[in-house]
Amino acid sequence: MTGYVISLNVLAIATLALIAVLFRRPELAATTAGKILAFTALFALPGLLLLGGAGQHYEQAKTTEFCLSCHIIQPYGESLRIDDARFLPAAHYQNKRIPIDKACYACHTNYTMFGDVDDKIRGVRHVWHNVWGTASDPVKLYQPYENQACLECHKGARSYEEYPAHKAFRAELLNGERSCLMCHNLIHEVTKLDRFPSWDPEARQ
Amino acid sequence: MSRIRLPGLRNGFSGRLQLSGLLIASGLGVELTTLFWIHPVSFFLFLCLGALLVGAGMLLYLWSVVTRSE
Repeated sequence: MTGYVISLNVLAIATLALIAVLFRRPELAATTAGKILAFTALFALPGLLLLGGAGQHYEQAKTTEFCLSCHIIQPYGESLRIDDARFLPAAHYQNKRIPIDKACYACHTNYTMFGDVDDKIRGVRHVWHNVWGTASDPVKLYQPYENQACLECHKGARSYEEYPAHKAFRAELLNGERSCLMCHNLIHEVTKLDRFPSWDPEARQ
Repeated sequence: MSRIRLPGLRNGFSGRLQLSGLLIASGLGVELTTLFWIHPVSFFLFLCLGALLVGAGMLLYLWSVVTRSE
């Protein structure tokens, strides 16, 4: 539990205490101090808590734990542990090239000004499909994977810029005419998971 | 609003304040619960139940203040 959540809880408990006082003695609201109390307990603090709660949920929705809590996505989580460096998501995850607590989000968010909002709207669609069982199995992206997600980190990096194939197709990769996945084509491969050994981070100790 | 008065609540402005408090307290209860559960359903509960209850309570409070006759 983070300090932010603890703060929200403390504030919520304080608000509930104030509400309890007002509930037992609503006639207090007739005085000036009571009016301030009522405004604080019934408007200002709940509003603040609502915004704080929304912010916390917004952050929680970026976590790997959140994404993998849906049954249909769990094989994609397992694919992050394939013990083979040719698999792109597994190599990124196991070598911490992406934050492992936000692994799905790091590669599947839309890195634009309102990308986070787009992601939440898409997330609502994901939940809708999951609840009503209309999601495709295996899951398909709504649109082709955009190079921008890769270039957000790799563009400007020496290992990317100086690699001969990247140099040769630089313009096409930048404008999206050529997908990174045309060459880096071993992705989650969830239908073949049983064919590959799995990496166990506990075993190295 | 007095027609839908819940048992135990007072009449008039005081009753509306109490009802507003009840709605907000219920909403905050839902919000606190969902903060400890990292799951899409938790997000939906927060949005569709918690936020709705808190929002309704806040609006009822504002409405009560605006329409208070003294």
